Amino acid sequence: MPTKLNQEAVNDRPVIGILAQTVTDEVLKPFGRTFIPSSYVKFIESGGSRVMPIRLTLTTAEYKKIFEKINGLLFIGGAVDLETSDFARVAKIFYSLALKANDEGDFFPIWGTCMGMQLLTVLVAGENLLANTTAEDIALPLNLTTEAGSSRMFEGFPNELMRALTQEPLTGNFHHYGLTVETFQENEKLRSFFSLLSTNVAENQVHFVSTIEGKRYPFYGVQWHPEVNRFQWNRKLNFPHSAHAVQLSSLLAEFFVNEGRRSLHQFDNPEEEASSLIYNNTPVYAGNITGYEQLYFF
Amino acid sequence: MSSVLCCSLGVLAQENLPGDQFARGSSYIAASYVKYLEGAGARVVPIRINRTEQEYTNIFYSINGLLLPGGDVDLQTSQFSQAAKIFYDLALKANDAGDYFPIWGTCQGFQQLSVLTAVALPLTLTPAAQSSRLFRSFPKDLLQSLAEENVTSNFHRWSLSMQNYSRNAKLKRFYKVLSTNNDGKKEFISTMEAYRYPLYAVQWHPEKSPFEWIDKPGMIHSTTAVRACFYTASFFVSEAMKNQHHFSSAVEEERALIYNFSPVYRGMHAIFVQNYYFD
Repeated sequence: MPTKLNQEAVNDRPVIGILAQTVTDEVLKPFGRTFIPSSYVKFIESGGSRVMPIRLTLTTAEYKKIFEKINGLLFIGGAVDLETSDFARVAKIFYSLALKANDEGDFFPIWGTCMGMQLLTVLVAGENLLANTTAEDIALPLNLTTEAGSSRMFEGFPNELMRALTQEPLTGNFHHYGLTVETFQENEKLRSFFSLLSTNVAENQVHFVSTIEGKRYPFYGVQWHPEVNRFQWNRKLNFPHSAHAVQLSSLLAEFFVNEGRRSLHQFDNPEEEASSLIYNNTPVYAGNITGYEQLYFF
Repeated sequence: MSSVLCCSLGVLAQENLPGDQFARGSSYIAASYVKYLEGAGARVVPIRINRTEQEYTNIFYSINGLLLPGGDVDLQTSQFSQAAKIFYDLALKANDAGDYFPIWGTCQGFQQLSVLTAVALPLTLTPAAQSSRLFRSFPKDLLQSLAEENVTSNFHRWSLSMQNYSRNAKLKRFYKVLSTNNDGKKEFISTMEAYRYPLYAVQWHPEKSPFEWIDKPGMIHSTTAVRACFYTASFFVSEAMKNQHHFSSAVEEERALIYNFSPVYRGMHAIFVQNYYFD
């Protein structure tokens, strides 16, 4: 059933989890082993939710408990192995829990950005089918498919914005790898699980998948970075900041948080909830050494 | 080719509240105001109190707009009010000279004091609302929801009543009333914009819906309320994009931004979940 953006809110106090990502940038290693850029946190908060950071060092039993308390999960970008890394291992635990929950009518959404999207495709296909589709530091419009018009993700978007999305460079791309359209369409598992909402052309002329949504599961993926439009400002990188770019970022954040409102999970008590939120953590200013403004380290 | 970098918007700090056990330094800004503006694609420059008029003037010519947050300080004697007055005068002068500079006031102080209980209300839009600069930028379905659903958080102990507004020729000439509300006894102004200046004021708190989570009456987190937050902030940012001010260097700009600070978590029972504190 398509999600209505303005449906009756069931859970007006959602908490969405963000998995911490392994630090791979040498310059950041002194600060911690795992991190979450604040832009992802702000993206979720701006949609009307609070954020719980999820470390990569917990037990499966602990992850199961966390799953039952949060209302959705964000897989962020990164540069780790999509099958053998800790990030992938923990993501798989949550993915399996989410599949089962949704099957049982316990609504639980997942959003994957960039490598997060790639990870979702690996989890669904059961193998890493990525290829070289370099689109590094380049802002692009989206080549929307016919399925985009009837998608849940873009439902309710103003016509003017949908037009701009196909004509203006509103999506920031920062990846070397991706899923080619050909691979997507030839893989039975992927094409039956996901609707293909948009494609783009890489610097090596390969067509890659840029936006997907689960046909029967509330799982969403973008190869690009909606959070940079509002929350990352490094002048050396091509972050889209036009009014349309800002609106796109905001509407998608609201969309995903609205999906989170449909989850009835909750913490055992307010104290447990309060101590789990990312408000307890302090981000570090990193604008002078990376393309991020602030980073949380764990 | 990077797209045009938007705006740096100033947010004025105010004296720490007595009894604030988390307080450091002398002043604070509730993080929800920062997130409110960042959520609409702007960057934030915190402006401290206790600075000289010269310093404020320098800041004024570096930023593209100013947000005056709600608060609980004396509207005539506090450092906050004195700094606000300096910026207000600079803004009027600048606008008169063709240098477009918008100010947004959430819960601004006016003349009438009245006690209100915390409550979530819809807005009673005036006929002037539809053609106003602020609400013209809103999607039609959102305007309808604002008028029908309890989407605006009200936490004010003072307000400007329609009665007093109408009796004051200066106010009437200066501000256009876009929405009113009724507390059961009096009709008060909830949204207004100046006729000939980019000055906007809301008596309610759009920034609380996505960014403040204390569990008490009056707090509203519905989808409509979250959308209203974005569109009010987005409108203000679009106004600031008409301003050409900038910092004299990238380094100076970087040093001024709020990214250099970390907010303090005050717990889920606090009116402000996070505050930035300044010395």
